[in-house]
Parts: sequence; structure tokens; C-alpha cells
Amino acid sequence: MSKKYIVGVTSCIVGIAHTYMAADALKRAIEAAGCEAKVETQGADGSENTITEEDLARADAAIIAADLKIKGLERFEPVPYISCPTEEVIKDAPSVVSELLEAIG
Amino acid sequence: MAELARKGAKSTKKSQGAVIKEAIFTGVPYMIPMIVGGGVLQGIAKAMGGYDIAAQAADLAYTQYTFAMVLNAIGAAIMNLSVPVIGAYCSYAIAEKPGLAPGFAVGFISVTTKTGFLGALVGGILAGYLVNWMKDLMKKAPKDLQSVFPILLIPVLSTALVCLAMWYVIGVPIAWFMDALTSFLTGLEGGSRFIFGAAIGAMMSIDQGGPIGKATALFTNGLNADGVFGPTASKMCGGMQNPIGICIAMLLGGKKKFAENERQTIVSGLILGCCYIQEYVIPFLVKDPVRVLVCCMCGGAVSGGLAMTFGLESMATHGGIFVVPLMTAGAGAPFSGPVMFLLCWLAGALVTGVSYALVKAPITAAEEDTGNPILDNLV
Repeated sequence: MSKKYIVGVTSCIVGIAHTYMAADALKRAIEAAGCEAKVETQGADGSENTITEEDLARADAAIIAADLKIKGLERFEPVPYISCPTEEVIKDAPSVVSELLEAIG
Repeated sequence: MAELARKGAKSTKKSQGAVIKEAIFTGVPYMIPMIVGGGVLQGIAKAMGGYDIAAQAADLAYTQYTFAMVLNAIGAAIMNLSVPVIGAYCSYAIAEKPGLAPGFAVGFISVTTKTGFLGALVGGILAGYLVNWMKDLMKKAPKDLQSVFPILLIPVLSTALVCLAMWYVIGVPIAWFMDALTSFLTGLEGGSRFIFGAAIGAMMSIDQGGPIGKATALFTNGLNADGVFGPTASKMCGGMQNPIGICIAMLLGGKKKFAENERQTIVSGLILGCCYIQEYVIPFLVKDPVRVLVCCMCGGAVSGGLAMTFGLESMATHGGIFVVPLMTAGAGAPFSGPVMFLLCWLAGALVTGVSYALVKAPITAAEEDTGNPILDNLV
């Protein structure tokens, strides 16, 4: 079985610190679980490292770590995803990732 | 596929409380750049052309404005838009695109009916629910009628209903409440002024940019959008003292109490503090929660309380050291606004720094090796 591809989006209220701390934590946790990772940040200066249609076409699952309604949530409808606050991935990203991997089998 | 339920959760459906919280948190980031931009521009205009610049410009045609008056007009324009924008994007978070029109409208009506920021929040949320309800109604309507909903019925009816409700019903108690709050805050004197400012400063120093600080900032920013500028100065003073305080603690505590990799960040910490980026303190808070929390809250209370006591006001809601020149002080203050702000700020930072340097436990050898991994990621 090939390496799983997990994508994610992080976004906090102000968009200068928690967004990026969450993105870092999430990326490291996904890679530590032996998967390929790409994390989009929706910070104060807009979306960066945007998850494209090509990404979603081959993504196995997604994690939305946001304290607000993210831009383009409907993009993620085709893949299984879980949502949580940014706080949760900053504190303990590995357990969020393992919960997702368990759920998608 | 779609959203998976979290472990322990019954379904993926969000509670109403979560929907409303998400709506407010979606609206606020759209408003912040407007009150920052508007507040700073108006502050610069007042510094250039005098505090009564708006009154000076009142009788002039716009072609006769001085440069300072033009800046003030630009600042006022974007500031006036900030309240409608919060209504629009709260509504958008609940009902997506069709929510924008009634949200903007009820936001403008909130300005007219003097319910301000709070009215726009409530109205925007109401508009979102109303649009969603009409979307559900659309699905039940006969096929031929369905296309009339998005192009005619939803924009007309949702806008009319939510704005009429704001004007005649919900706006009345909100306007009364805002009026009572504003006169209470502007009427505070002596000791109660200090306590109010200290409460804001201490609240800003609990979770360093987390939900409690954000809620406090939301409250003061809302008052700012409604023309009460004192709480903003207390907020900024109380918040900005935290990173500086921690740096002071490291300078005083030295090698015995702080790991090498922590002390290497002192310069960055001071710069971040001047830029009002409190998140620098988070790694210290995570590592040593109780002591950092108590020391920071004491410092925050001192900064916030003093700022309020001396009548400091800030039209700019964010911007750290760069907006300090625009601060104004109350009538009884011994120095000008910017100098008073620096003094209040430093006083709080010293309280935080000295107290934390005293109560901090010396580091162990293991800690010296591992340092503070969260700090490595942040700075």
C-alpha cells in the first residue's frame, strides 16, 4: 500500500500566530505518522500553500483545524475529513492524526 | 464521504452555540483591518490637525479640506464601514453568499439605531438564520417558484425582516444597553476607573492571545468601533507588557533560572512585545503555567489600571509601538499621551518581570539540555 496523503487547513481568529503554529504541528504529526502532508494556512494575509483540486484528487483524508468558518470548505466534501479547533492540534496534533487514520482505516 | 464525527461526538452536526461562536469568529477578522486602518489614519489626522479635526471640517466642502482633514475623512469612512462588515460576515458564516446582503443592511441599520457593534453582531447572526430558514422553505416550495427565491424573495424579505426587527424590536433594548454601558464607562472615576482598567489588563494577560484574550479584545474593539477609546489603551498596555515582562525576568533571572535557548530569544521577545505580539509568551506559559499566569496577570492589571486611571485613549486598536505616538492622555495626567503610555507599559512589565524572576524555580540540568522546544518552533 502506498503512502497516504493527508491534507489540512489551519485558521485562527487573528491569523498571525496560532494559524502557523497549528500548521507546523499538523505537518510534523502527519509526517511522523508516515504520511505525506500538505497544510494550507488561512492567516491574516490570505490563503497560502493552497490545497488544489489535484491535491484533493489524490488526498486520502483531510484535517480542518480552525476556530472559524474557513474559505472553501466545500472543496473537502469529496474526502473524509475531521474538524477541530486550532488549540487542539497545537497541543496534541499526533492524537488528532491517529484518530483520523483510525477512522479511515 | 464528508465530515467524520469526532470520537465521543454523537454526530457531525454542530450545536447552535458552536454555530454562533463560529459566526462571531468569522466576522471579527474581517472587521479588524478596518478598525486598525481607520483608527490609525484618524489618529494621524488628529495628531496633524488637532483633536477637533472633524469639527473643523464640518462646515467645509470636501474640495477645501486640508491634508489632515482628508486623512480623517478616509479613516472615518473605513471606520464607519467596520460595523456593517461585522454584521455581513457573521451572517455569511451561517448562510454563505445570500447572507451578505441582509447582513450588511442590518449592520448599517445598527449604526443608524445606535446599537453599534453589538447590534451588528446580533443582527448579523439573526440575518444568517433567517436566510437559512428561507433556503429550507425554498426546498419545500413548488418547482416553478423555487428560482424566485434566490433572485427575489431571499434578498428582499430577509433584508426587510431583519432590519425592521432591528429598528423596532431588538434594537431598542440593545441601544439602551449600549447607551448605559457607554455612559457607565465614561462616567467612571478614581478607584473604579483603576479597577476597570486593571480587569481589562489582567484578562489580556491570561492566555496570551488565546480565547480569553480574544474575547477581551473583542469587547474593547467593539467599544472602539462605537467611539469609546479608553478600554483600547488599557487592552494594548496590559497585553504588550507580557512579552517585555518575560524578557525582563530572563535578564534578571539569568543562567540559573532560564535555559540558554530561552535567553537567546530575549531580543526577539522585546521586538515582538513592541509589536504587540503576545504569543511570544505562550511557550513560557505552557512550561510553567501557574507562575507565569499569576505574574503576567499582576503586571497586566498594573498596566491596564494605570492606563485607565490616567485617561489614556487609543483610536488605533492594534499596531503596538507604532501607534503609541497617537495616544492621548486625560486632563489630569502629568505627561503627554505617548509618554504616559510608555510609563504605564513599563510599570506593568517591571511587575511581571521582577515577580517572575523571583518566583521562578531554578532550571535543572535536563531542562538546560532540552530547553524549550515550543519556543524553538515559534521564534
